[in-house]
Amino acid sequence: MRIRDEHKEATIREQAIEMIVSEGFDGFSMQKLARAANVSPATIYIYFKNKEDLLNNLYNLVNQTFTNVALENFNPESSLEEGLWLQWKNRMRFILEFPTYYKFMEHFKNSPLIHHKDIRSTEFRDNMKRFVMNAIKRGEMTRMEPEIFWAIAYGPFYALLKFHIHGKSMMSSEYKVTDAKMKSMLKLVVKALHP
Amino acid sequence: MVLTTEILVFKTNIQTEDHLTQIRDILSPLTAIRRWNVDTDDIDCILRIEANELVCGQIIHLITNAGFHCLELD
Repeated sequence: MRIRDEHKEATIREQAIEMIVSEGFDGFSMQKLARAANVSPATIYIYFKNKEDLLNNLYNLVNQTFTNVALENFNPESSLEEGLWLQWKNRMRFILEFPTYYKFMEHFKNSPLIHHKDIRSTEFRDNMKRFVMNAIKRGEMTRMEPEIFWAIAYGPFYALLKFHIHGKSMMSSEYKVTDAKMKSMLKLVVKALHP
Repeated sequence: MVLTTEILVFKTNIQTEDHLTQIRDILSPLTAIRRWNVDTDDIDCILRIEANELVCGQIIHLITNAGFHCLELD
């Protein structure tokens, strides 16, 4: 008989995320995870049915953390400029505070291993959708394909943040993002989205 | 009455669809079992059982009688 131990479960999950981020999915197995987390394989199976169940569970944890951070103080009724600014700030905080979670999300995005029907992320998507629809209604942005909107609204942000994370750009060996730099980029992005 | 769930984990050699069918026939009459699965991708072909009461000995007995290995892991 086994008793669930939430602390142990959390340790296993964190260890699994670290392993997947550093080694990818291919070599990942329950047995390897057990060795890395210093528990018996049986312990892992107490908490997770199989690899797929574990991966879905990890994805939900990471996704929920992202959703919580991204939606903190976010109001889908706010203006395009104000809402986008908060999204940039919140997402930057997520990436800097949970770097392994961020890398995990990047890995998972293109993985066929995840069964998307098991994944909950509607809270985040509903908020983003309402935010965009409101901006369109108020005439702050033109109607466009969601992919194009994402590329214009978030593409520049993620590109700039990459320079910051790597600490260098093509022009500088010590690149740092500041609020002032992000604000000036935001003005350009808002202008580009304007009808 | 609150039913507590026991989770039992076994190392087995249950690997194929055919094996799974046999195991299904063995386990489905046991009403204490709420849910079970075999991780056939795992090297130890882990059989995982969620049951309302301790049925460990009974399960090992039934599965080994059918010609499989079944060892409780702890």
